[in-house]
Amino acid sequence: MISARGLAKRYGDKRVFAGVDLDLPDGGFLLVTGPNGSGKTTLLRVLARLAAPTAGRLELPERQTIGYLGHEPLVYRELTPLENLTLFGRLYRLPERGERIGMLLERFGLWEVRHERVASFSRGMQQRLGLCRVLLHSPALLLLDEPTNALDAAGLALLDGVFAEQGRTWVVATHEPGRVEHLATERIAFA
Amino acid sequence: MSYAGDVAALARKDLLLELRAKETLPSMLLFVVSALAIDAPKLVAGIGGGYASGG
Repeated sequence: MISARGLAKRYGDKRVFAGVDLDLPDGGFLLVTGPNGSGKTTLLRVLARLAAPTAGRLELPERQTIGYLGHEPLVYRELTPLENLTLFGRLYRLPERGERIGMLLERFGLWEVRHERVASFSRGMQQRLGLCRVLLHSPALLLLDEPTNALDAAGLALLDGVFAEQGRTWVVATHEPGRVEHLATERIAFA
Repeated sequence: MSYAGDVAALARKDLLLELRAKETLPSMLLFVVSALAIDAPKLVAGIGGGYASGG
């Protein structure tokens, strides 16, 4: 359960958002919408504990595993997909990580290019690899910031398959909510 | 995996990145050459002095 009361974030004199109240039960789907610069990314960073709120109260499960996909896929461009996922798998201390990595690469259509450098990939392929990265350790809470960015029709279908998985709590920020609107159990709309 | 294992995984990653991107190596070499050029007179004098005192 994620709970927030009067959550606010400022950078100096600039108010990013204020007065955010939230109750997101386990397995819920929070859809955060709003135009560019409205505070969606900052809210996700606060929920991912990458930024501290300026005011308000935020309660997150103590030992919940989190997967965070920001605007960038956060993978090493000079490494291959296999090397990237192996590194993260080691750091997550995943048992049988080879099997899990192979399954994810197959699922996201990256198995054939697993030995090629990420730098040579299109933005859409990098986004697919970013999705592999956040799913690698099977996090209980997934925070996705504009996850449809750069994905083609096949990539979007793969993303729909990810959304269909049960047993996760979702926080998805997007300025194009149409694709995930029907999944949302909670909503925050920034102006 | 242990803390040492984490360090080894990160070190391997950094080495691979450096071998492929070569972002740090040129500036590091430039620094080494510059330091040697600046300190060369002292080094030469030191070696010469060593020979003198040793002889």
